[in-house]
Amino acid sequence: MDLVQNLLYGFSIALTPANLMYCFIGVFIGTLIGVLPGIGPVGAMSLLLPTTLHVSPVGAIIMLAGIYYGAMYGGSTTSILLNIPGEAASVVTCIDGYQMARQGKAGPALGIAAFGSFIGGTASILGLMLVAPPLAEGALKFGPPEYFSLMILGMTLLIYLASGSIPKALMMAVFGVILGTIGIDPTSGVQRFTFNILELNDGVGLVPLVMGLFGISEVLLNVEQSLKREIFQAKIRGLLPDLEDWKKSAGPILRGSVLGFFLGILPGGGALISSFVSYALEKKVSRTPERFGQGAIEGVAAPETANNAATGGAFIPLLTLGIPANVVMAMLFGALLIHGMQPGPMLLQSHPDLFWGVVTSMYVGNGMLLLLNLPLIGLWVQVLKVPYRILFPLVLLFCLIGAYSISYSVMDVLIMIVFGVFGYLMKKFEYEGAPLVLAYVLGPLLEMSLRQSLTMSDGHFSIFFTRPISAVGIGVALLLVISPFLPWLGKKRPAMGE
Amino acid sequence: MGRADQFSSLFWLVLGLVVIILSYRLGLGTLTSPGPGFLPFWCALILSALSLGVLFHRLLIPSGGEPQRIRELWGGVRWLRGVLVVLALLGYTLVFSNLGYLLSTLALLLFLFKTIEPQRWTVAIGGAVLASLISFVVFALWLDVQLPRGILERLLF
Repeated sequence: MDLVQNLLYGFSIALTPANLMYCFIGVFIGTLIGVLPGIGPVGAMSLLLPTTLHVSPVGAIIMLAGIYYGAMYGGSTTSILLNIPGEAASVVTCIDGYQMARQGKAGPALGIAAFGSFIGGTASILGLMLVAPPLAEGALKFGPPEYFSLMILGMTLLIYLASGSIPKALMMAVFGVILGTIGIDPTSGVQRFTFNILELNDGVGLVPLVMGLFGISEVLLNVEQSLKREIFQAKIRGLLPDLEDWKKSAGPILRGSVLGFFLGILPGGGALISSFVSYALEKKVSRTPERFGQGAIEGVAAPETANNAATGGAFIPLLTLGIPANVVMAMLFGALLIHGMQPGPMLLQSHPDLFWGVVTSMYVGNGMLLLLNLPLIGLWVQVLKVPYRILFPLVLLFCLIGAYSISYSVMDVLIMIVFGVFGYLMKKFEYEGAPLVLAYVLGPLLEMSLRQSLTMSDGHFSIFFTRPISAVGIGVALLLVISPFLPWLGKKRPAMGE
Repeated sequence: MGRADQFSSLFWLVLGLVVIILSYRLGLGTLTSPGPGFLPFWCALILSALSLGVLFHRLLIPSGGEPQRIRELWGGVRWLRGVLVVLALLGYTLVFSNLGYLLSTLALLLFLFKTIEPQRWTVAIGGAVLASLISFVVFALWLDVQLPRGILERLLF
């Protein structure tokens, strides 16, 4: 009964004209950046974060969340029509989606991707509503040692699942924590690594950092090579999958929903892993696995459902524990802090309007996305035709405005440019940005919980091993860190991108 | 992997050592009451140890095949374009506050449209003017972002 009441309360917030508009702006921009290769949801969220300062906190988070799940929808369009994933979680959709398009079945491929995304997204919202409240209640009993080990576990999982070398990902995470310590130390009031630059007293801003690492660096990488995109020219017709398509896709959509949701909850997990795992699962359970890679509709339905289902799951650690599960959630974490809200178990009690408003807005947003993606597919195909040489100056312009408008400081723009060059070099030398950003966001919390834990235990590190939840978290993290040295475990490490 | 890795790990090693020294100066405190330098010190120590590990791993145990040279990372790409973009952005930050948003943005966009992958003058000028004006209207007038105002803004708005 409580659930129904909470749902109605949530809808009363999500359906206000203002929040409906923010939801629409979010999913529209999300679809747009999902369609456009070269700027991902993280870049778009950091771009819009400064503008949300003029919006109510609920409206801001509704809009930013819309960008995230909207990008998952939009990403499939480029994968199917161009064989270029609009964002990382749609990489696997390219395999069968593009083949379907070449065989004249672009319509059903786009259709099943949109329907699968809708069903997966809706299922994960249901899961989020059911799982989050009891988990938040349980998390109220967590102390600093539990938080410390869960954060260490989250970062370690992300490092473990990074696509490249584990030592390099670990170096990035450690560097991220160091970056997070720049500014005035909240405990002692001492300035750390500010070099007397006044603007660094509050630390390196999240927006300039993320925009540099994910926005500017991407442009720098793209402009040094000619981006020639071949767009699928044939007219797209028959977006509604037929009965046979539905028969083939029902199982993958169901399995993708469940798998995506649970993999999304895992810290370090998220949309990308869900899409890969669900594709692999469908290939494994299929009676005709040889069709995969040749244009099997299951190969589109499963990953597209799973990556949307993961978005709902990923909200759980953020809203209940205050621990972002991936970089996108780290952005939302930053947004909540900017709006004066502390993500964590108390959020549900102190700001029920935010929790239920955002959750129910996702229902509304998923409906909007279905309308945006099916009838307006022609518009997105037109967007795809905008050449990159016209697009990149505009991306740079948005980055400049975004970085400047967060605190009207040219220093922030300079920091963004520096991290842009740094991110470019990182990609050249095969270092990943995701562990850095997550560690940077978690760094201050990690330091605080470490200090509190050590004070509680009179300086004994044993506190992390004597409390059960903390011991499990640290134990699993340690196992993952030493796994490269254990051949039997290291070989099984899945290779994933950001 | 190879020489490029050695170069990058050397960079991280130097950075780690610098942070170790700076953190030590900040004060490590005690285990019961960690100081402001405690966490960065240990993180920098791990960073240095990892970079040493990567450095010596590559030196002692070559991973097979020809090590990747740094020059190869920029082989076959038009790296000068990236340099031009960065220089343009740095130039923009220098004149942004004094010239005002519209004029500096117009100049930046015109430069990017004409130099990186040259467009026709009509496309370049039209694109630069439209993008500058629309972004100013949306961000400064509609969303109330306080963008620097110069002579053009005073004339037009």
